[in-house]
Amino acid sequence: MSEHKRRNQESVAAEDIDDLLSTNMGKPPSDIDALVRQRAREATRDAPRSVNTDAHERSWARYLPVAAVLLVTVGVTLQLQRPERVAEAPLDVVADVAEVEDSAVVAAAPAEPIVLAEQAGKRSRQAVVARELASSAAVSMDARQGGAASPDALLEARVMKVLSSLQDDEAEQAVALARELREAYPGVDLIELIPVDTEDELRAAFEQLMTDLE
Amino acid sequence: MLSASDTIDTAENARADVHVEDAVLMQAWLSGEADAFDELHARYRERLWRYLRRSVADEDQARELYQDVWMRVIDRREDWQPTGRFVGWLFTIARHRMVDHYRSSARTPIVGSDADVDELLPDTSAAMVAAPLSPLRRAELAQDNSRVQQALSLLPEAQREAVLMHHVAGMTLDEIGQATGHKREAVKSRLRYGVNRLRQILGATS
Repeated sequence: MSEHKRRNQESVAAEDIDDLLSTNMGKPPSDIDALVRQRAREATRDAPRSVNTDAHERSWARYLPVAAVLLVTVGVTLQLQRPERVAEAPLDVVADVAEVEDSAVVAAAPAEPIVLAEQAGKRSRQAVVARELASSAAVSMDARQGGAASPDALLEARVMKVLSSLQDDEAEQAVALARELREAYPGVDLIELIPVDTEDELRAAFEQLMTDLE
Repeated sequence: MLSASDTIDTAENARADVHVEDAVLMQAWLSGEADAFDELHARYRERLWRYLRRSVADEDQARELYQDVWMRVIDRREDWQPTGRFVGWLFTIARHRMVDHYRSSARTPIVGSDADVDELLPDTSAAMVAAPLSPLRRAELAQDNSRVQQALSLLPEAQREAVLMHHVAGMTLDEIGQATGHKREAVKSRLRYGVNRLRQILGATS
């Protein structure tokens, strides 16, 4: 049996058909890639901007990790406020949530802020994006924690993730992004939970959230 | 030991952050940040190319489809909905374009040929100049490709689509479900049957 034939049989027997399927495909044509990127730039330049931003002062790439963290933050908070979660939670968690609902934190954040914003005719693409991503991120985090994490555990995970991920320069980015998100959520006080001035305020706000749940 | 199902689930959880980043990029692009598209394009160009290249008979067809799919992404960017994943939306466009291609040309998908291995290796020409493939190796590559193409052509269309999207384009079950409009369990079943069938065919022809 030739080496070539033996190798083929081994790869199939090892249930690894990825290589056979993916090899010999070559690379994407660079000339078309250049054409596509050029076309995208022309289309972007020709289209009116839907968001008024100081693009020259920021780079979207620097915002990505912070954006993900903040969207998780919003998502978990929304999950905490969903009535069905309370209904499904153990009794002790229900009691905790009931206390939280009386707190100033929740008072500052309407139970269904996005719905209210939409009803007020202020729905924007950004709001829809943030809502869907936040929901997806929250479900993902829930799943990673076994699918039955309590609201407290989710919040703690969220806070620890935010605090551990923020460096000094990232905090500044978070501040800028928070401002953008706040603009994207017209009339939604939820974003006020994310401080917008200094890193110290950011940390203090999350610590306050933890205190409110204790 | 993790089962195959556990592995897939773990991989899909790990991709949640990627989907968030994709959506942020898409939003940035829609907001006027042209560089955001470049990043999205860089992320998915190879996966899209592999999917299209393995789906049609020759490189010229794949090039035409590749360009067309990206142009549709640009032209239809306002149609993107944040309720889905960018990769799912991208491959929905690609899938529709493939359907159009088959209908207009009345061609059977994936007609394999072992005649021209150079065509299958378009971007390795520089390396081949430095270290040209031996005639034996070239024949082996052509034979490998022909076997795979023939095996894929024997799969039912739904199974072939699932196999190509998962094993060639690297998509998860949920992403394939979004692109094809089928439920996750249906995709999982088709993928399992398709892979098993492919192994049987490849094993029999090796």
